[in-house]
Amino acid sequence: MDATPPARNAPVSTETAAGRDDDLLALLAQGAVDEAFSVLARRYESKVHRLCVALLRDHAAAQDAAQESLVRVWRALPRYDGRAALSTWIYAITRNRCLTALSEPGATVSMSEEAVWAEAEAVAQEPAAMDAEGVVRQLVAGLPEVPRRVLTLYYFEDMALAEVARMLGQPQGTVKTHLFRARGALLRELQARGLGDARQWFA
Amino acid sequence: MTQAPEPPVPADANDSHHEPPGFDRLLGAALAPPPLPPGFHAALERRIAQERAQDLAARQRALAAEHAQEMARLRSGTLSLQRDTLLTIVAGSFTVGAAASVGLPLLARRLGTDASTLATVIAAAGALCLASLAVWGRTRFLR
Repeated sequence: MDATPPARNAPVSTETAAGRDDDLLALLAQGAVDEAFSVLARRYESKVHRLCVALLRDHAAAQDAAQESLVRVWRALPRYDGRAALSTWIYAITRNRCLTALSEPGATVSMSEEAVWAEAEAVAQEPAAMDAEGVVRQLVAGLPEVPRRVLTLYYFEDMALAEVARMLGQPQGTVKTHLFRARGALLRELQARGLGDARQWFA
Repeated sequence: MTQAPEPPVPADANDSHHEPPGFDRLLGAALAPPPLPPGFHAALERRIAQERAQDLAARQRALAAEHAQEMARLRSGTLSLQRDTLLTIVAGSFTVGAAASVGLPLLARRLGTDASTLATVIAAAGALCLASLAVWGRTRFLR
């Protein structure tokens, strides 16, 4: 593993995650719901959008779902009772919205795993398209749903495992397992395509 | 993808000694976070403003409906009160009239006085009782 800046690697602890919303909770306690939402939207809109992208795999649908999720958060904010951390609550609303979007008729149908792997194979064999990042993206798209979401969010969220666990509503151990296996599978596939050497990646 | 037996998960999932250096960087570059679409925040603010306006209109409609319902209830209450009062007055008058026509000649004969004087005295006593009751009721209410 390469050296990355500490900020990227630093996991967000539960205490930190809860503590970062203290100002929002104070505003809610004062009844300043609109002001609280304004701060909340600025703080969470990117995260909500990234979660939607990871779950829906379609940028237009993700944008709609992210907007709709935040509107739902705005509607429900006066009734937020603090039983769950604010971030956990927001992510749960977002996940529910995405699940609804996925269950709607005409929802984006993802390619079958075999089709994606075949496409990745084809991309890897084209000399002009011998781009490791492109191959990785194709390979990631071919991963099973849950490991793919974990891996995608892990890098979207600057490798903050705790944050990814909160976003997906899963225990950290489970997320870690999915992440480890997804990375292992990707590396094996890269090696199988003759792209296992790090010198090829950043040529 | 080939289904090889899965290796055990290390304590730290990042602790991947078998991964070549730069693997994280490659994944990080391939899976760069998507930027927030331009105009996302403005669109969100517009939607919230719409929701707020709809919410306000819905609340106004609900209040107007509640007000109309309350007014209808008050009107029906006033009508039934008026009807009950009228019935009480009519029934009271008949009762008093019947009692006077039967009781006054008997009392006048027994007390040896004329019926009109007796009727005046009884009416005055009744009025005093009613006035006292009204004053007592009002002072109790004020307390």
